[in-house]
Amino acid sequence: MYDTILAGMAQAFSIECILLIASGVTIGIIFGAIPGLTASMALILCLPLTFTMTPINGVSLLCGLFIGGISGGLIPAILLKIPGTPGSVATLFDGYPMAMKGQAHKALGAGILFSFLGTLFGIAVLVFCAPMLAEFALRFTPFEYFAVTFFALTLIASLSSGSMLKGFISGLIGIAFGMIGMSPVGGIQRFTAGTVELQGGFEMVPFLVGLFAVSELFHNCAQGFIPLAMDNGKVVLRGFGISLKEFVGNLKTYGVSSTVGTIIGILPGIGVSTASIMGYLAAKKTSKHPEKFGTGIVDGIVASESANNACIGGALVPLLALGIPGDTVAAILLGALVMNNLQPGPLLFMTQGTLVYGIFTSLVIASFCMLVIELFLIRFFTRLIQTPKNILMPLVIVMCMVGAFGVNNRAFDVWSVLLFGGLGYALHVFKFPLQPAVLGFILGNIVEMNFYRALMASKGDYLPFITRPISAFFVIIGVLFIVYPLVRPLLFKLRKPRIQSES
Amino acid sequence: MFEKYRDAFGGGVILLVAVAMYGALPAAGETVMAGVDLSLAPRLVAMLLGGLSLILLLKGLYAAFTAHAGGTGKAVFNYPGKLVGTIAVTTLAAIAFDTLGFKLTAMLYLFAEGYILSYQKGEFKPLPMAAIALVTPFIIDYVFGAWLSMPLPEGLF
Repeated sequence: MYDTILAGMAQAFSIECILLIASGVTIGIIFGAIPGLTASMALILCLPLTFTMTPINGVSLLCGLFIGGISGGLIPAILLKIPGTPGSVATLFDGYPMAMKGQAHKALGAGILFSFLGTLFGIAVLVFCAPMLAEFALRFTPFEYFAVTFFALTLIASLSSGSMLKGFISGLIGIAFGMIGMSPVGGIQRFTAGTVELQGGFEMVPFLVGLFAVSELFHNCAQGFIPLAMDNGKVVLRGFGISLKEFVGNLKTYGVSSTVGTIIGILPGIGVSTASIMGYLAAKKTSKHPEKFGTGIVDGIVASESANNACIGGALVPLLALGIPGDTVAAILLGALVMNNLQPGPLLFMTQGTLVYGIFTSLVIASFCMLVIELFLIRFFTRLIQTPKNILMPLVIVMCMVGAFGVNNRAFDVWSVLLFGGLGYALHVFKFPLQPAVLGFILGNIVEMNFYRALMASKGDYLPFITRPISAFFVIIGVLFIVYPLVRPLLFKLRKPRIQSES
Repeated sequence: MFEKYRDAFGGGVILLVAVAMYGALPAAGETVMAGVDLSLAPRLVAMLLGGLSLILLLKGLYAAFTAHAGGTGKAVFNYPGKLVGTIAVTTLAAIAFDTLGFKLTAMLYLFAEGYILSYQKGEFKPLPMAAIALVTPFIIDYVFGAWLSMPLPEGLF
């Protein structure tokens, strides 16, 4: 046993392997930082390079790309209010307000540090609990998937700062846009008006880039650019930018969000963007000061970055333990393993123990590489937002258009960016929160797909949703999350006269 | 005026969208597969959206007529010219992206948007902006085409 572990570690610690991991992380960070380019694109582009490599070198390169790609998204999210990857969408909720307050370095430092720690959390779960958790995930049927994602969707109430009614409407607008195109089950066309381009529906990248980046440009044009607090150039860059007290104070947030992120990662088909938002919401729910979330606090960045990076380890659990890829990146990794005549699954741990422990070690090395490289680059990142806005913003929009075009190599996605920019600006003008729309767009389709699948499995019977324990638990909690904010004012009114009469 | 009727107007627009959404769906029972109506979810979303936007509309009207809608005093459009110009230029760039090609579109967009964003303060520096507008699209095009194997639209050039 120990010989196998040591042999695996020795393979991963070879100079060649470390250099490949470092290169992978660097390329991944670049892909993550450019809006529209994602970790999965980086993996697809570099996959052919791995054909001539040894299995451990090839998989290590891909692991580096994966970790760098997920983490790199935090840079534009914090500095430019653009989620570099869909997984960093929740990072901008607090990251950008912090950058606006002149705390870009602190936000980046916290993001990088907790990305690193989140990745380690996910890897630890992968190393110690992979087979057991994979078996648990297999018990999830469409009923459970529906219940979990429905519960996540009901958290719109938590994301609605200000008017709850506007929050729900914003969430439904997101769901409605997600429904355009083929239905997830049955392939029925919806709201396409006979247009070929709309049949495939809207992609997540143009939606997010338009909603945040283009709407921000429109908003700034209408209101005038607000000078950043750090524009005076007197910012001192030191360490991670956060104090030890802040670090210790955020350990609870880290634990909660990393756990949520890992669980979401283990469940196939949900994805890193959901993990990021769910981690953020879980941290907000368990925080002592939930009202401060979204105003620019470190906790929000810690929550999002811990969750999306912990999701990496989680996503590898079903892949390595069962041979089931949970998302696109895992599917590419599966392809790389199969091309090397390796079949992921329970037998992989017995027949290829050295390789498995080599992969685990590579993931840890990649995390450290990510920490060092991003920390080294932090100084350059923070200089980015000091670029004059009349130069920076047009460049950002051009990059957004290019990134959107790159999703499917079609101009329609560029037009979508503009459409969602208009939508985002309209929501802003009418004071609707944007975050529920994002949650609705991401989760709407997953909820709907599992709802239909479950109903088809039960032949139209709704009862299993509340007779299956896991499903019932999440459905009931979800309903309570919707109902409670609606009845809370009523309860408060009923309680108020009683308190007054008692006093 | 806008501040006063903001919610009513927003609710009204979304209500119209919800009605159109409901109307665009197939009739109940037309899309049944294995005993499950596959239009159930969009129908539910359209109904919920319609219901909630109607509440917003009524709340907004009530607040407007009882003068509860207190304005923040903050203007919504400080620079309407910049906004209209940016929307126009960005729309043109999105439309021309495929036909004119990436390089030419990006050049024109960068220069035009740079001008729109800085004309008021007299900050616009044509030469540096022109240099950025000329060089950047070539760099982006090269990186995406040669390194990332992701060619951008050639268009006219």
